[in-house]
Amino acid sequence: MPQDTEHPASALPVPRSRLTDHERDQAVLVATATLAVLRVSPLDAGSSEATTVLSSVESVDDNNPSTRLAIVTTYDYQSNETIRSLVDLVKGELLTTRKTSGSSAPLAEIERATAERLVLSDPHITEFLEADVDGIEVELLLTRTQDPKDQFFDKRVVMALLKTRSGYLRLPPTFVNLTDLEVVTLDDLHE
Amino acid sequence: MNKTILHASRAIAYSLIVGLVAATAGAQPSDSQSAAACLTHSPTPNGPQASGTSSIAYQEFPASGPLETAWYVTFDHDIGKALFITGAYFMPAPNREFVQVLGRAGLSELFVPYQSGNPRYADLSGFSFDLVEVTARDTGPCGRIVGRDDKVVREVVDKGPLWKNDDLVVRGQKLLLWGTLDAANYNYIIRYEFHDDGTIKFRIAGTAVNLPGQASEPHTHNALWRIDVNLNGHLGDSVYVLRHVETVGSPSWQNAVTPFNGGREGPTDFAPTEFTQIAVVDSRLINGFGEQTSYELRPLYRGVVRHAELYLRNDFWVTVNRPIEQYFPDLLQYVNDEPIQDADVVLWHVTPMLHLPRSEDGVALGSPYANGVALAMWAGFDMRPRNLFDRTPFYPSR
Repeated sequence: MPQDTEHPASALPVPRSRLTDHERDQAVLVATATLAVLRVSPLDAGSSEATTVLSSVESVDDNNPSTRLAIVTTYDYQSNETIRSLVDLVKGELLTTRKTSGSSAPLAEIERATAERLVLSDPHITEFLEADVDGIEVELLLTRTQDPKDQFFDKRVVMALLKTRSGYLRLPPTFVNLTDLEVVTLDDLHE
Repeated sequence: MNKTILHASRAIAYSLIVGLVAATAGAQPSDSQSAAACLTHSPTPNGPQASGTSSIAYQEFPASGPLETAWYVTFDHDIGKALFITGAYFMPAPNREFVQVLGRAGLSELFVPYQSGNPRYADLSGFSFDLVEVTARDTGPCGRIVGRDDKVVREVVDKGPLWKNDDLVVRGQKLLLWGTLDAANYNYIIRYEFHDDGTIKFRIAGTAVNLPGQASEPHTHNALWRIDVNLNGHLGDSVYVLRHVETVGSPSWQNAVTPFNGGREGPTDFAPTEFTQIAVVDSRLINGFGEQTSYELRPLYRGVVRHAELYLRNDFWVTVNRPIEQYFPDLLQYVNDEPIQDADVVLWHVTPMLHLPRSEDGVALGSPYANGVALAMWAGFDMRPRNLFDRTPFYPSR
């Protein structure tokens, strides 16, 4: 260590602070307020209404220390589009929006809860479970298909893994089609 | 796929307890240390950040003795992002200023398709899993837990000979920052290495439980990296491709340096006969000999993928840095012919792991539970400076 009292790296930038809850809320308000055609509402089993879900809010850096930016990601079930909105938190402005076809957006909390509820109430699954379902943890893996002939093409689909205190249950591959709100269990067990 | 046959003479009892597999990640056979031989962790700058939760990692080299080089690294982790670097600065000599090398760098996606075509997972963005909490079992006797929420391990380790000249030898050292992403059944160990000679190594390993229900099906784990190279600041960087050009049967060869994709946003591919490397050159940074300084991305490949997804048909991409452009699967939208000479540039790189399941993955038939875990399988790439130093690092002065 050098003998002077000043740390060699004392002049270098310190890490930016993380987004506060207020900043996250502000980013969501800015991003969704200008998307007039979209609605944000919970998924409801049996409902045929198209909905938009809030997937994530994340901070991003443009190498400019005076700016504060966030990307708000939403998924629109009606158009099967992932929408990313860049928000300037200092000015409270929507800077740009990018839409991509397909469901690459992270799973929203409401989607996770819906998928878990559907899996744990599906008769094909419950027959594998022990009496104590409180010990079951449902893990969900967002999956996509490139094949237009696949039954899940253009759908928002998660694979469900069931984890118990003793380990993962080796079940037939189980998927939740969130677009159509149904559980699909494949017959083949690839072992 | 054939089933594994267990011989009757071997009575093997499996009792998987999820979450109690001790990770020895970050420690490879060449990095062994005893508690008595721990290298010194350098203190971070004073101030509010100098606490156990600080996301600053500062390390001088050698770890003990007069300062010769140093790294100042800022990092963070987040749900859906895993562990990432937010800035990296290197001091190549005590009489030189810190040089910025990286802005934000880390994983943009972890894409895992299975051989049959389905499923195809987005293991990073598709979930809301976080890093696994680490303990003393992860740090070993010499490492430390750093950053928020006890999720990141910091180690300073010996890396073996840095250089050797007959009886002269110097053993090198490096700073490691690593964390483990919980991706449901899989764990991914993400590790960043900051070496005493200015080299940075990006590594990732897949480990933990094969996919229940499809545990024997081959698949690839594609680590898709986004690297904001800010060499000497974020502006003024240009990207080139370095190629070894050899004609079969000729005794000589040439080295070619050409602008990446003609100086415009776009892709290029790794050619094994060409030792393809990607160089980022700063317009103003030179060393003491007037040689222009660059950082080279040096790939490490067992093989490359060419999957159905269009963004996985090439090995390297370069774009101009735009804050909204963060997602590897959207790459083709980002490429719009902007110049990548004298600009703020981002490198995108694919590092795949091909997983052909084997018995060592712990698949045990006859049990209702998926038992055992796949051993860690590593991939990654290196970034190495060229003409940053004026001499061999750590070579004795005459």
